Amino acid sequence: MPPTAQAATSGPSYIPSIPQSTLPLPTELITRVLSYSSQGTLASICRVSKALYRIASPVLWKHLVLSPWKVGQDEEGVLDEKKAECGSMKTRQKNGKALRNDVITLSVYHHSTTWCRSNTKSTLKLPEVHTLHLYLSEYGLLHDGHDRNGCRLLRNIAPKVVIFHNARARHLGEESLGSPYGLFDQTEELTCISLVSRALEPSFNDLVVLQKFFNLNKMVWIFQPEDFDPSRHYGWTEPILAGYDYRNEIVRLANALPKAKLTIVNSGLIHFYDKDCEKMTVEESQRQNEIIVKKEVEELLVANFRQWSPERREERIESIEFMDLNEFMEKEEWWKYLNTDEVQEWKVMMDEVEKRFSVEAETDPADGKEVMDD
Amino acid sequence: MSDNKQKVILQTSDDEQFTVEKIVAERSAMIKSMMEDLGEQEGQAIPLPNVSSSVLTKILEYCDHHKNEPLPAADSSDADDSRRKTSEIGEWDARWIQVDQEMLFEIILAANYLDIKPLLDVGCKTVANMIKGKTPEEIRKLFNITNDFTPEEEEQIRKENEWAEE
Repeated sequence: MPPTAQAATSGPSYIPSIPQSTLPLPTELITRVLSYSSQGTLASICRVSKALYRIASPVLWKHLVLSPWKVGQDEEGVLDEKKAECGSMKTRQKNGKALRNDVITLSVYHHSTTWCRSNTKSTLKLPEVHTLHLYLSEYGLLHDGHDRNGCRLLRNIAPKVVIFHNARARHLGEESLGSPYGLFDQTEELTCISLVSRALEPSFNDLVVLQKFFNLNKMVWIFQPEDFDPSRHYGWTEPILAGYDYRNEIVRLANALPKAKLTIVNSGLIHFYDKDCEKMTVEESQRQNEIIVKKEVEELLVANFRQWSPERREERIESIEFMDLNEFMEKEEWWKYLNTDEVQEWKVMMDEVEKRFSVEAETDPADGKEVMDD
Repeated sequence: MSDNKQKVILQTSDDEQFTVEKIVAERSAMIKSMMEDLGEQEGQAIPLPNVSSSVLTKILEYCDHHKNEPLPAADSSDADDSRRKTSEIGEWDARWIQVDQEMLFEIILAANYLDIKPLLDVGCKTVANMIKGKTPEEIRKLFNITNDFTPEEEEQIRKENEWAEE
């Protein structure tokens, strides 16, 4: 072993950056600082000086966000006129091609078909895209108004990781979501993020979108906590669907992807949004979901995969995991593709919802007899 | 363990010597591995040719405050990713790092050299907060950077990144 004390005196590992840069920190450390900056701030930094442009531009373009929306005064999404042409990515600069190779993560928000076609001559070639975020709209999926041709912006993309935001189970029955470009052919991991109350309304279509993920080996479904409004009607409490069990949708999901590991996050919160729900804790509800779903899945496996050995069936059942948000945050490498601030917000919201319902349960005179002792 | 009470001597670039508890010094992955290599040779000072005494004094304050926390896993890229789990700065850290700009940059450089990951993050997040939401001109003023773009070039870059503007 060479004595390292000597090494340390002879060669400091940090040498001021070449050649007399006017920046106060070496490039690697500036990159580290910028890893905490928002896209808007990065766009500003690019315009500060040539040296900063060279450092900040790749960081900015690493995650390309295409959206016609901006946040309006009431936190509502409003159309942003400045971004009207962005769908065409009319980048006039000479190094446009190089920039496009920097894009590792692409986010596309729902938009009208005119927006992504605003200049049909330009194509969006992003060969390095690894992760694709699709922000779906309330009804019209990726395009407002149905368009079975799929989104032109996604034509040349083959992501390994796909995240559907605002997803609902019934979106997965919409042909147009998949787009005809083989978009999901290479995808190995799919994450769906959906608001607790809206995720699992009954869908009666086949989950055709899932059939387009040929190479999927992992799917995560995250139920995102949201504020509870007692005056609102939540999905399956409509009279016509009374008695509908949202767990059917999880079973359908598992059934549609027999080879993918399935992780269901936060399902314990769903039942609170059902007016007639039994009083139970989030953990209890999650445990109940797990038991019911696994039992159903097993029955379906016996019926549909008769050639599978009992061991293989058991393995499959074990690959379906239920966990709450805290467990998910500890176990999974979610920070690789989810926004940290957003996940922190979910955590805060979940604590609030949980607290709210535990208070209601305690003060409920109907079953208050034992609670008084605690 | 009595091991923790052990002392270690650190020598700064301006030849000052600091005797500190081993558990404090070990916050620095660089010093920790050096101590391991030096073994039991007590009394031998560890030279830190890139850190001045004023910066080291400040950094030792931080290390002392955090001495009982678990050390981050040795340089796996996962540990590097997991730091992003929180984008906020702790209350004590935020107060501690209220220093002038020159000191802030020196702390970051030293944290990098001494390999104190959590401190490096606190420093980088602090700088990131300083530039948050600022215009290019405001950033130039803040760090005394000269604009070497022509107005046409700047406009071109603005167009190129229009999609990202808030």
